[in-house]
Amino acid sequence: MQDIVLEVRNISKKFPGVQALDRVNLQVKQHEIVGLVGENGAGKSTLLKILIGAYQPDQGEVLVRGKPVRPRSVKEATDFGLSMVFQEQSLLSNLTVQENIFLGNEEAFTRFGVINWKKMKREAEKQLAKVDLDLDPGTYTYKLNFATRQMVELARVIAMEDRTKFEPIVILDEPTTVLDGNEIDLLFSRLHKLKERAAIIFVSHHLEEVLKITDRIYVFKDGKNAGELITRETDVNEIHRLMVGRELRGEYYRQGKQIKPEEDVVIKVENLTKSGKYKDVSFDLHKGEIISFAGVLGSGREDVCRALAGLDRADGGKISINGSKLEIDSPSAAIKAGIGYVPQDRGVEGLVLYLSIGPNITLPDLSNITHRGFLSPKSERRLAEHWIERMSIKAPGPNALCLNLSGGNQQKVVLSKWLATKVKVFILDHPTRGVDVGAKEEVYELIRELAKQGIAFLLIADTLEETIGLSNMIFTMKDGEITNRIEAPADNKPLPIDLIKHMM
Amino acid sequence: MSVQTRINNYRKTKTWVDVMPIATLVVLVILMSIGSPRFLLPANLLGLLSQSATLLVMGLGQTFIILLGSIDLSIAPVAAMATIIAAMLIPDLGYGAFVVALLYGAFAGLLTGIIHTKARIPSFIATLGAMGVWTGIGFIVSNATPISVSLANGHYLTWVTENTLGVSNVVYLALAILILTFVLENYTRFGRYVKAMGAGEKATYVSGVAIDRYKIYAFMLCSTLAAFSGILLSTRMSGGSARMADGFLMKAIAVVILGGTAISGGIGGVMRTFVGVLIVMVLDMGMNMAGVNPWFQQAVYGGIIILAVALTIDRSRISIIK
Amino acid sequence: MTAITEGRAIHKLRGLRGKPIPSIIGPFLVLLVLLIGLSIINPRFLSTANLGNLARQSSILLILAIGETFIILMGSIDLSIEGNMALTSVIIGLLAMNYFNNNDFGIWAVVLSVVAGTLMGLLNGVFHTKMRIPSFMATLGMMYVGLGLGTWLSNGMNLPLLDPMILSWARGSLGPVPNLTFFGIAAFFLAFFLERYTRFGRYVFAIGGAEDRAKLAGIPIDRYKIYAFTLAGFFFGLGGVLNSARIGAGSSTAGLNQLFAVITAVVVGGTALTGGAGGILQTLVGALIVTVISNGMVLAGVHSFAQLAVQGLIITIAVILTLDRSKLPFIK
Repeated sequence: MQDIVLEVRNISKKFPGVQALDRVNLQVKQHEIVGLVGENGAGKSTLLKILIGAYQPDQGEVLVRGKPVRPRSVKEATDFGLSMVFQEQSLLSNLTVQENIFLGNEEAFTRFGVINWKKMKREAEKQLAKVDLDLDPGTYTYKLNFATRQMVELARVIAMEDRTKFEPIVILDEPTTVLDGNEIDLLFSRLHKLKERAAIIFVSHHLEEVLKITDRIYVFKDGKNAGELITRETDVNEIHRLMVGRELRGEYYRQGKQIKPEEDVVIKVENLTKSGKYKDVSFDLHKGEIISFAGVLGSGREDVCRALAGLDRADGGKISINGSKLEIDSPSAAIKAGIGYVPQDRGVEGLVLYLSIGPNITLPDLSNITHRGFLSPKSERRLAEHWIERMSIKAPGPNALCLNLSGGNQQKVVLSKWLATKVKVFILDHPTRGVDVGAKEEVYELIRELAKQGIAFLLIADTLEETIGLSNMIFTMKDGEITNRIEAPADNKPLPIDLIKHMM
Repeated sequence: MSVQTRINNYRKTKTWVDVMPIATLVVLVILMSIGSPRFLLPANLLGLLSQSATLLVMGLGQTFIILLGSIDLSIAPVAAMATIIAAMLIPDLGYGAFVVALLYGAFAGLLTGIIHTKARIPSFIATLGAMGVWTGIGFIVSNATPISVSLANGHYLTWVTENTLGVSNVVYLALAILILTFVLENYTRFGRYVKAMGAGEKATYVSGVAIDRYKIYAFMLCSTLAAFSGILLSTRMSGGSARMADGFLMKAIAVVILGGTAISGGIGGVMRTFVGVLIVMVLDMGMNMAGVNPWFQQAVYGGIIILAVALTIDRSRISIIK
Repeated sequence: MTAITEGRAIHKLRGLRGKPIPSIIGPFLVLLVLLIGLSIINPRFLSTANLGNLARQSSILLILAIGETFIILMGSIDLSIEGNMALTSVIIGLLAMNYFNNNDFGIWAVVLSVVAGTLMGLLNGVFHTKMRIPSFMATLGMMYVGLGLGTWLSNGMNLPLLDPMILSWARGSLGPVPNLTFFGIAAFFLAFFLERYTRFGRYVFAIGGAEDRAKLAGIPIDRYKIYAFTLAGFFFGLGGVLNSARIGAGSSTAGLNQLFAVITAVVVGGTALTGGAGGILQTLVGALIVTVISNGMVLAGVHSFAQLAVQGLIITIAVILTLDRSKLPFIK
């Protein structure tokens, strides 16, 4: 009879424009490894952040060994027994292994602020032994490779048990992304050993691995529970089915207005390669066409788009615009080629939040408002008013800082900016993220209208449904390569399940 | 639109930082007029203005750097070098000496700008290094002794020191620079890009602006204006020395920040610096009249800088403050 | 191999850009070359008198640079050195036996001066952390505060020190070894101990290495930053007192031109301006290098003003070569 060590009860969390978690439930028993899977945006990382104290839930509770806890910081969460091996490294590379294992928790070896190194080293050796890591604790962390560092992070997490006298609840967030085959096997053998003294949550989009290592699996979809499976009784297909499977709501994506792309090729990409990110990406983008990239984190799709936007140059390959080869090595080169990039991180890369609408729209091309070498505020004001009207931007006034606009309206300003430079290609990276439903539909209408005028789109959508609904063509990507090209004509749209099997 | 909506909209566009400096100035002027009835006399005000002209010009240059979110610590030694160059070259080049001094300023700014952008060194280090280099070179070139402009050459200085319509020319020159920088800030590409870079450098880069180039222009402008203020100093002091601009850095930073240009960048401008200069003018006069020791005043300004930065810095934009 | 695994392979080879523990071999060799070179060029370099001077100057510079090292290790900077020294120098000039008043507080004058310096450091730390002012700005402001207060209290004058004990610290020697050297050595060992054997020292490295990760681990960042600035203030104050003893007077110019020498010493020794790498041992070598160069220049008849220019140049070049730009998201 296994006790439940961690229970998540009816947890909800809302962010502007999106319900990230909607009354989710989860239980982890003693000495078990529970898998957590779901698409991008399913709510996995939000739940993890709540568990380790980075976010606070709007409702619901978290119980550790039956007692409700509300950690307000990572340190508090570890005091309650919850800790995480982060996807981004959390170790300090300029400190030694032993210092990292006990960082922030050196009380046992410190008297009046002075550290007893011998004692710490002995303790560190004990912790490393728990994860089968044969390493001198005095080694500086910068010398270790990723796999070893991950083990040190694990040791750091395990060390907690000596402080709290409880078995720890360990969360692993995408631990295998940076590991190769042998290292993954090593990790798994250590996790098996760890199971005997801890409860583990294993979050990953590598479903084969999840099926290998876990006892039970929770599937999340759109912030809700979509299923709870017993690992040895299920398979990849069942997980896929639970992960997707929503109805495409009628004309939400204005499929009726989807046009057939023209013959002219606007961008031709041949063998685009960047070591560590993507390899041999080739495709043609036609006038009026909407191509989407579908893939999970690490698939390389964001990097390909950034390369075409001039933000992250590829190592090899060829890009041709309207037939002539082009080096897109900076944003201004991309802009000259008629490419407009609408980034994921609107507030940092898309808009200058502390400027108002007009200056943001005119920034890429001030010649629109320059008369005889000088800027004309009057022209700028007229321009701002024109776009506010054309794009139905709801703003307190043309002088309002973009900071004060809603997500949807901010996005409209970004789109206006590029339309003012007469772009031929839009690269949209998660264009409807953080945008409310009404504004989302406006964006879809706009995309259809622009496509009709001949503007081409490269799209990274928020959800599979959006990907399918909007596109003429979908490229699935996995581990840096295009794994499949699926046509998505308006009258014969593919199903999410057809995509997902090529994505993970 | 209802009145309440109008008020809310106004609140969203105007912030506390916009209003404080002018309010402070008004309060100070009122206090001063009460304390000293002769304060508001035109003669008195114009006299004060001509004393502050040099500071205004230097502050205007620094405004563009602070708008970028950077800082230029080298303006005082650059100004001092300009005084030395002017004083040394007048006998041989006449008015040409001033041209050389200005070119030197542009060159100093070009160097700092290149080191900052191409070698990717934070501005406070690059300008700290420049500060040391120009201080040292200033001492070497002038042999650590002040250089005087002889009476025979005095006529080269009158374009600044003479009075026109009862007002010293230096005031007209400073106001001309104010107008020039105002136009630069609000009506040129350069000004627009500086503000955009300070307010959001990444987004500005993605919009295709050549960041490095305009940063270099900004540093060139700042150092050239520092050199110009040096020229103004040297004409009024009839000479040049490596120590002539001592104490200006602190005041130049103070006038920019007190005027309401935040060191987080993007917000503010030259008109605010003008207000800042007025505030410092009145504050100085007030402290002098109250008999506050001039050295203690330096300590006061140190405290004022700290306070002003604390009040105006936009913490939401800088997550980790080092 | 897929693109991803290729990338992993490269990451493994590259490891980390720039080692967090810079080797002192480089700077040490530079020092050695300088020592040998200068002794050959000018035999007076090795005279007892000159070596004594070297020992005195480098001890004071070392003490100041030790304070700055802790700050730079955290990734911050402290520009208030000259203001701190001005204030402490004037305080001791007024409290120890002097011509202007009847004070003769002896050792207590020293204590109070150093306390004043430490308090200035504390204020630096508080303004930086609690009011969230960037360190260069907060310390720049305090620089003027200290300088202003010092000049005001001394009326801009020199205050000759008459207390024989204090003067002997700077002027006396134990055999051939100047007394100041003992201060330098003591400060060095204290600081080295703090760096390597205390939690404070390790946290300073952590904050400088990756402040966001240190915060994640639960380290109370603000508290340790305040400790570091206070400690730096202590060392600057001590340096101010000792320098006053050396020049024989309290003066608001006691710290003149020290900022550049100190930063050059720290940077040249190998402590990175971005923080998290370097240390006290590195600063010892750096302080010796700066003192030897300046001493060499004086012996060669080069104007002392040139030193400022040279140091400014060295700082810029050293930073260009050693700055870990991957740590700065964008350069401001």
